[in-house]
Amino acid sequence: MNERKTLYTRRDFFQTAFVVGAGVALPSFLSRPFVYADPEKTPIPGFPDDRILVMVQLSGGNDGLNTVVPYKNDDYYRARSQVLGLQKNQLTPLNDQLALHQSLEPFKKLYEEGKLAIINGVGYPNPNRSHFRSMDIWHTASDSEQYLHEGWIGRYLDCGCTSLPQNVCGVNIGPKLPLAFEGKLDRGVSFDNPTQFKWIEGAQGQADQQTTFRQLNKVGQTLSSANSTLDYLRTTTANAMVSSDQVVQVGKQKRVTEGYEGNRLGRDLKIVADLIIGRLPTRIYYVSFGGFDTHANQPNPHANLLKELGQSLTTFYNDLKKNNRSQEVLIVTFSEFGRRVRENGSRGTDHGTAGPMFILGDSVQAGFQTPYPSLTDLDRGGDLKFNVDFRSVYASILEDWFKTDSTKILGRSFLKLPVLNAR
Amino acid sequence: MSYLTPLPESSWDSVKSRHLLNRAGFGIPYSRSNELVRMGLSKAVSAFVDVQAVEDNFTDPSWVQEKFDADAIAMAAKLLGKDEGENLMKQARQEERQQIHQLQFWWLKRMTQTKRPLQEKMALFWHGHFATSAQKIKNASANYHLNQIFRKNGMGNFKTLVTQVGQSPAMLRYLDNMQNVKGKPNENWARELMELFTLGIGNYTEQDIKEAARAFTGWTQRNGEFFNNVRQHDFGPKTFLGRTGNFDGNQIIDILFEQKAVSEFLPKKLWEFFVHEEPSPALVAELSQVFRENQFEIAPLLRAIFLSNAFYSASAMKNQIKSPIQLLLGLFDGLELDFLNSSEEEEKQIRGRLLQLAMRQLGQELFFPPNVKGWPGNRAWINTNTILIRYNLSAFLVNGVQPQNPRRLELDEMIDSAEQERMNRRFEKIQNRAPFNAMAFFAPYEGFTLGEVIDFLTDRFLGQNLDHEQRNMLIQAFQVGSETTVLSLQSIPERHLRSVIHLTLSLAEYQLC
Repeated sequence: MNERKTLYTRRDFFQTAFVVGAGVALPSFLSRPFVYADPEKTPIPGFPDDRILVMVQLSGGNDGLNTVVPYKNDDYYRARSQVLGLQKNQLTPLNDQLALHQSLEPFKKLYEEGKLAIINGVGYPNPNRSHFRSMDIWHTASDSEQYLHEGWIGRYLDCGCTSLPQNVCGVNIGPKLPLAFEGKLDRGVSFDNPTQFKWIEGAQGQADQQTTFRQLNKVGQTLSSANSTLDYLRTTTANAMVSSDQVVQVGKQKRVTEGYEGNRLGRDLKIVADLIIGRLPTRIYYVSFGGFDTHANQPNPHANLLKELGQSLTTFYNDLKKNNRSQEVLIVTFSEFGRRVRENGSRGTDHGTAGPMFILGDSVQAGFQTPYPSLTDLDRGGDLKFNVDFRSVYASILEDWFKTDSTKILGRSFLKLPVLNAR
Repeated sequence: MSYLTPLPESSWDSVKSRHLLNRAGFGIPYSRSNELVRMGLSKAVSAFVDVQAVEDNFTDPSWVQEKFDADAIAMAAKLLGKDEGENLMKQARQEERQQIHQLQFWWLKRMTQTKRPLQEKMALFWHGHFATSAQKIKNASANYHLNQIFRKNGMGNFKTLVTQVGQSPAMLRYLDNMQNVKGKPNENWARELMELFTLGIGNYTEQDIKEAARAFTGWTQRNGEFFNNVRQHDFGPKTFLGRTGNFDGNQIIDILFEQKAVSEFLPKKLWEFFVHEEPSPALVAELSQVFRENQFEIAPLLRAIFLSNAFYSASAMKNQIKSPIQLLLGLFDGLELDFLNSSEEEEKQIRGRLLQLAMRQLGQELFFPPNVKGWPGNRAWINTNTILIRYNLSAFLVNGVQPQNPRRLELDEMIDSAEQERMNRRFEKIQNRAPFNAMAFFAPYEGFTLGEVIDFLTDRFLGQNLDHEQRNMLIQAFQVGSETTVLSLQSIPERHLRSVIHLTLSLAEYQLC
């Protein structure tokens, strides 16, 4: 076993930083000395250090009407008269008007314990029914006719981090950073597997190559090349090494857990839990979970997806609670649109408009935050009219959770929702 | 003329010929640099610019001949019963996606094999300039048709090119000109035509956009071809950039090409693409003079650029970050991988998917520019995530080690999870079969000293020297001796050979061209 440690474990790096001079290929955040006494609890200046956001994206357009079900409303059963109308034995009632799809039964306990807020009818004006376009709108918090290239999370990470940039401010579990993270600064990282977020050495355990790789690229050394592009590449490499070391270090910690199933969402959320509990200094996590585009033969697939959602999120929340971190975490789910009120002829539903969002955490104002959208007063396309602009939800998160000015990030002021308790 | 004064023939050398190869083409094949040196500057530049003198035989994708008619299929689907109709539509959508995927592969192959690299590089430039995305334009024929315009006319006349692009079905649909009709103008095409394609911001007003939009009403497509629908055309008078008349689309383009800005906008962008960022106003003025004097022909402008002193100046050398496409092509060439050809159909399919994933993660997927502004390029290619992906690409090609969890071949959210699972299982079967053949690669270096071998390799892959420390580290990676040790393939484990290559490709210098 090779004893040579890589020089750049986080602690080492911080310690060596104080003896290195100017013009060094150090990650840019070390240009000012670190002042925190406890490196274990390294907060990121500019961000409140006791709160984390976990965004869970449901890709494809989740059928909100069969997720949060107005089971006492005849119009629901009229619209879903053939196959999709959920009967009593397929529902988990939350109150005398609304029920959850039975697959989300694990949420009922969270609801009763006051940890779950449900926002109905979330959408935006002039809704777009294209997956890509509508998802871009949600990611960039744009108006329906605007095309923005930066994401709302990217803008927050740009604004929030006032002095010391950190590449692991945001983490996406997946191969590529979503548009939501695009910003002016390099503030988010994306990976499927935290232990693989690194320069990958050769196949047979050539861990010593890590050192060679860093030395070849002058990581930690004084930049003396006359080529500014080469310097830029080397600085980015050094930054990547710091982020990688942080992530790999935390990712390597073995934790005993129970309850996570081997499905996609369970796997991803377990990784997020590992990273949170392992104290990666990340403020925003993002996971995506696809398959919701149920145009045909919806009942079984939708039931399975919701089962995965309910089970994984609940396990995740309980895991955090068991490890005393649930107070710090806010979990938010969304989809790029809901689906049409009326079922189509293929035992499914087509692209629609407004849909529900689930907000989970110790600090939520539990319950239903908004009225259910009308099933009779529909828009010209026969789709639900939205009650809440999704940017109001973002504004609530930014202002009440992250304590930051949402206007700068969202472009204008949006009415907040009382989803969070003051903290 | 000072910047564009031609480099003297006597200054021509292998460093400069390499630079030309990297910029006027994709840097492949790397050995071409020697041939270019022998030709001399003028003939070398001509070899790139005078494409008509070079033969170019390449087969079209097979389905291009069978015009895939999405509308006919939609109608047929309606006539069939519900289930069969739904199935037909689903199949049609899958077929369309497959065709786009094939089109990506086809273009990559073209770039690898072409004898007209500048033509392909210009096609790539135009693809980013006149950006349309297959995310919106799902019809593969439309994408192919526009791609061919970029290829066939990309080094011809810019004004003609603008017209052809504006009349191509892909662009008509992408920028919504099909919805631009009399009484209900849609400004999207008119705006981007001025802002992004010809003049640049600040050289027109919002009112000009509105008037131009009216002039373009009626430009639409029918059956995959341009159709000028005069019934939808607004024949009324428009005032555009100070001129008044009952202009149509062609006349708007005429007026655009009378503007001073048009002679500067594109040349500046071409300089930034081929040479370096932020050319000085004086340099832009010289470029625009050449452009104007040649009636907006692109080839003479390119010739002037590639012959110029400024192109070969120190500030232009090795200061550009390779685009993802150039990186991929260079890896295949440098490692002697015939990655795009595989005898096994399954392996070919998997490699195709891997390429798609690589392009996507690196930020340049062919036919899917992120937005109408295309790809900014250079430093924009590089962030914490993409730089690791770039380094780890070589880990995969050289060592067969996966950069990412194969489960994540979620390339398209529309692929159902069953198909995805099938892909992942197939993927796992070919995992760890490294495409790179280390023994074959090193065979010609047998008998040379390790020092010499490293020098050959740094020249081959990097085109520049390393410092003493770096050179030493690479020599040490053989783990058999020192720089004077003679390379004997029998006595070196293959994994050490791979390490040497992998580490060479993991140098930041490899990202430069």
